[in-house]
Amino acid sequence: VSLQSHLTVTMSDHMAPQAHEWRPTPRPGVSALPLDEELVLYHPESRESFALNQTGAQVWSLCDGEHTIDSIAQEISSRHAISHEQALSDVRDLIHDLQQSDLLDAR
Amino acid sequence: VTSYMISNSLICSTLANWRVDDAVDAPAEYETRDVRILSFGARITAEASLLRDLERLLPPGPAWATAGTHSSTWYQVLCDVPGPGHYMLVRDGEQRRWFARRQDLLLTLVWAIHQAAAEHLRTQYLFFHAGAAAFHGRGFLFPAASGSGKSTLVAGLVAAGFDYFTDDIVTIDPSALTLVPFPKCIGIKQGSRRVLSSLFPQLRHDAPRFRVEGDVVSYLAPSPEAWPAGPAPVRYVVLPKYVRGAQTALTPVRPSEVLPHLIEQSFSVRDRGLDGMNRVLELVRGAQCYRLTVGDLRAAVDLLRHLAD
Repeated sequence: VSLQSHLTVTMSDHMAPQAHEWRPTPRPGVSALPLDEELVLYHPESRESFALNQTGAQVWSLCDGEHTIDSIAQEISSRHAISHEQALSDVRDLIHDLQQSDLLDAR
Repeated sequence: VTSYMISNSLICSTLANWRVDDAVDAPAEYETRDVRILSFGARITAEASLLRDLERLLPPGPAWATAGTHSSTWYQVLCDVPGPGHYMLVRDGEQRRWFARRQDLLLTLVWAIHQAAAEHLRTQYLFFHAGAAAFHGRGFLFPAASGSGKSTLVAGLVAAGFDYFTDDIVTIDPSALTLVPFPKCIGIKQGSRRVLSSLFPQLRHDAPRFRVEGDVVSYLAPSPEAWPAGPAPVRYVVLPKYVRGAQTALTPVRPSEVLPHLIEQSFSVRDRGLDGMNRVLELVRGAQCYRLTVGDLRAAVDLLRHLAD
């Protein structure tokens, strides 16, 4: 719990200035491998794998260089009938983790 | 998001203490035996009594799985060297280690052969720290950390008529995704010996028994008829966990729940990069995935047999 809180605070501090503008894109070379309706991301240099559940896979597919974090959250909010605030919080968490794992292009 | 690191921890560093020296020759009266593990072969030269002990710890696998094997490593065991009651183990004529106790020599040699086989075969096969068995040609893969009850479960399955592939070193053909047997004894820890003694009476007296890392492990050699008649496709990936007193239960899980366990218990997937990951995913996609809580061995065996029936 404390780690998650720390990550959230850190992310908020770091993301606040650019969050509205940033349009995340996958890092070149990262493979997205389907597993049923979920997704496994494979980093070619670290050779580590990361599993995304169905919702995480949807977020990943929206990291296309077109969507901002806010618009990704809007999309997730409408698909899953949850509040925009909740979706934004979850999307931010996930994108932060993906960025920390070097799976998204640096801003 | 969960990160899965691939572990190589099971490849023990048994070779770390070898010392290189001048070549030596065993006395002429010593005998020689070949050990075959798939396409890996080792030649052992030692006194006849020591070879007999080793043969009980290194059971031969099925002939179909060892065709075309060439011996690539040669071990000699010299008795009473450097002094009475001691042993010198020589690898490939030059590298040597000394042992004051016969059991240390035997266990180290078995480990060294398994390690050398795994190194030799790692480009040909996917390796997992897992148990494996098959029923009616349908393969079961049991990836799990040490202490989860893999060997006990596999022994119970073998007693119930399942084919035996291994109790903790799984080899899978990466193109066909089929299990192939890695010939070794089933290591039965002290806590499981009583449960299994009714199924395998040799565990009471006859099976070799050694103290390993604070536990007493019996080495149960599979009977020749326990080996499979051929490779078996992996139809089930089951995560076993022994929980004392728990109700035995087999629960379906999503493939993504099995995947981290499989990768964590692999020791060659990472070497293969993206291709290795794709092979593991293909394996999981083609299998039914379960979590097995084992409170009672017979109940667990019945559940798995019913699944394969």
